[in-house]
Amino acid sequence: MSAPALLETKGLTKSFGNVKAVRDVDLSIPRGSTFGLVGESGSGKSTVARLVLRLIEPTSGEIRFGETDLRALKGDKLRRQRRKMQMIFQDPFGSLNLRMTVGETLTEPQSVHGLGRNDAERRARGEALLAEVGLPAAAMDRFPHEFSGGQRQRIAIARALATEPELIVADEPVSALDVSVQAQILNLMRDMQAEHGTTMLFISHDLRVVQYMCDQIAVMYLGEIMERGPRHRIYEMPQHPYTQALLSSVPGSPKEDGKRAKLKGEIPSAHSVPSGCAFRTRCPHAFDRCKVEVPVMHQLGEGQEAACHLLDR
Amino acid sequence: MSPLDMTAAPGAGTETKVVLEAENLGVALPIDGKYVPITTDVSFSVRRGEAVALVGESGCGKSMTASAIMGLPPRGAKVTGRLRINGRDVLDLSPKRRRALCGSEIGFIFQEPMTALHPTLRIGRQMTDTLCHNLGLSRSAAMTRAAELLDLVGIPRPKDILKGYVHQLSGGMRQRVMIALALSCDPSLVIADEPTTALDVTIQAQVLDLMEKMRREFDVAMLFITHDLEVVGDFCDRAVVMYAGDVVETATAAEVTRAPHHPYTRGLIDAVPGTGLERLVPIGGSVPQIGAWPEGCRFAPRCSRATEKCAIRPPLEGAPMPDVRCWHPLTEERT
Ligand SMILES: Nc1ncnc2c1ncn2[C@@H]1O[C@H](COP(=O)(O)OP(=O)(O)OP(=O)(O)O)[C@@H](O)[C@H]1O
Ligand SMILES: Nc1ncnc2c1ncn2[C@@H]1O[C@H](COP(=O)(O)OP(=O)(O)OP(=O)(O)O)[C@@H](O)[C@H]1O
Ligand code: SF4
Ligand SMILES: [Mg+2]
Ligand SMILES: [Mg+2]
Repeated sequence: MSAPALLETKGLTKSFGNVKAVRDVDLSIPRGSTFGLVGESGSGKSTVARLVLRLIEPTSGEIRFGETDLRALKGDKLRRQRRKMQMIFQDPFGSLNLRMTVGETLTEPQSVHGLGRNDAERRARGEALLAEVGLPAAAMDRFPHEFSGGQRQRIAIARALATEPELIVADEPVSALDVSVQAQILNLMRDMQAEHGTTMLFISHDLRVVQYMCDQIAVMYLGEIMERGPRHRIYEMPQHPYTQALLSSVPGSPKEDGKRAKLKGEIPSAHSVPSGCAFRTRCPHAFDRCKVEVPVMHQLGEGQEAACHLLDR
Repeated sequence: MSPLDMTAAPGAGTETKVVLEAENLGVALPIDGKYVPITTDVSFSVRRGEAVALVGESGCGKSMTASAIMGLPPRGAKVTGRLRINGRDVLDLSPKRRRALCGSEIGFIFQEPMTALHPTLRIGRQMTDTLCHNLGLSRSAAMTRAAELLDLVGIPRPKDILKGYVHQLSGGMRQRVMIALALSCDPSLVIADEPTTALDVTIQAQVLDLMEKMRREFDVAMLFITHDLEVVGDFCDRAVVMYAGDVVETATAAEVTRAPHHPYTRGLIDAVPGTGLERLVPIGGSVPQIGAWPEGCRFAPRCSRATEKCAIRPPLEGAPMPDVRCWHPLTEERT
């Protein structure tokens, strides 16, 4: 169908004490594509990001990066693997070292991973990266606090690119930005991806942003994937009741009987995930079976899949 | 229509009664020993039963304008211009009378309910304090009313919730409590500052439905602060667009979201991803810092239509198009 997967997870599960943050997540991200993870707060998106980068250990499940079994990597091998996987966060203040100049921020990861023959070469590459993200070379000698939010996010992107990664995980990279600047960064990330062929795991709670950025999308709810598939299938013919409700809750969507809300009630706590289908307490179509049986993924064509008993016909 | 055309005559028809009227409202703050303008010449009005959006990007002065209206600007602030609430000039009132007036006529809903709700006071205590103070109810009458209000905003088991604390509630439920509290003194004006920004979309939809119901039931004037143009189009009747401390455009919500006349508003719309996948058109550059606004049109350095004339500051009324602060407004409708 498409390119072979660069990143693949099977049955990925993470519990924090009795909080089941991520349950049984299967992902397959084709090389060179952008894969979107959407869902409301607490659905487990950031936990998946941290698991995939091996920043935390899974409770169970597999993670493969190309031919490599990521869970088996240790020490030096893991360190070398890290060069191939970089992260961009929502708040660049949290990820940039405030005491380092932009130049140091861009050359340090190169030295750590033994890239570039000498300081001059690494610095030249730093300047080239800045040019690529639309910042002047003069920015090299300044500190993160001297830049606006959008500029800091450009620096974070340049830093992520410094090690020539194969995978970039971006966790809500534009959520803190104003729309006029958000558009600049989204375009920049799309250009970067086209230019370098980087594979991207793109996390956002903003359905419009995900639609703009991603080729494939997975919708998460309470730690599980409810539905996944190519962009056009998810946005034009969502099959899972949760995906349908999520899309029609976006402001500006048509109202039914003058009402915006398609779902009643609150998102349950991750401490007490409902039995059967995790979504059943809010699902407008829930029936007896949803309470007792966990729905399996149904194949719906073109790689679209959804976990709902209604599709069992 | 110009906001100045709608001055309330005492005893005017109730449907068109102007509740809030700001005229060249400005706030300046003392920074490093001198006053720096934060907002200037903010003019707009809100009528009974109407929801008016105050929309713009971060730092443009939306919350500052709200705090000036509420009579709670930061310490040392200089507030200029005119502000009328139900036809009464309020800027020259004594602080005490101002507080009394605001307490009985304005309700507030904030983005983060924890800033307005006390963490260690029971919810019932907070609600009855307000009711006793503003409406002169007895404790027990206030408690009954508080339970009614919670029921009205869709909170299950109101009596139990009244005995609890805010931190025990989810974000959506806290916002419902805020709405009940804002309406408790039967205000004529409700100011909502990003009331749904921190909520998940499915919860945001519930809270917007509730706010719409309350707005009709209580027939209040609503000033709705947001940075989300989709919410403006969905929820509001009219919109006031702000940029760098200025009102740049005032129009119906439909016009602002579909056929705006100010290049900045157009730029905002083009920057938001829609259902189409065509490349976004960002606004170049970034918002100027306070204290470093350009002399003429504050948007000029980022504007593709700017000419020499834009070195002169355009007025809101008196430039080519009424209610559009621009020398070269967009006249053709685009879709
Ligand atoms: N270190 C931790 N210890 C305990 N619980 C955690 C930890 N990290 C995450 N969780 C819990 O795991 C669940 C999933 O959290 P996660 O941060 O992955 O969600 P998210 O989808 O990224 O949400 P958001 O949109 O709010 O960022 C939540 O219930 C969260 O409280
Ligand atoms: N107490 C203060 N002292 C100094 N400057 C302030 C103070 N409060 C606000 N400002 C500045 O005034 C400007 C307007 O702030 P305001 O809070 O009104 O913005 P806003 O439009 O509500 O933005 P947001 O969407 O981020 O809430 C900003 O540049 C802000 O940094
Ligand atoms: S499985 Fe049942 S509860 Fe879950 S989404 Fe489908 S119909 Fe709704
Ligand atoms: Mg997260
Ligand atoms: Mg604000």
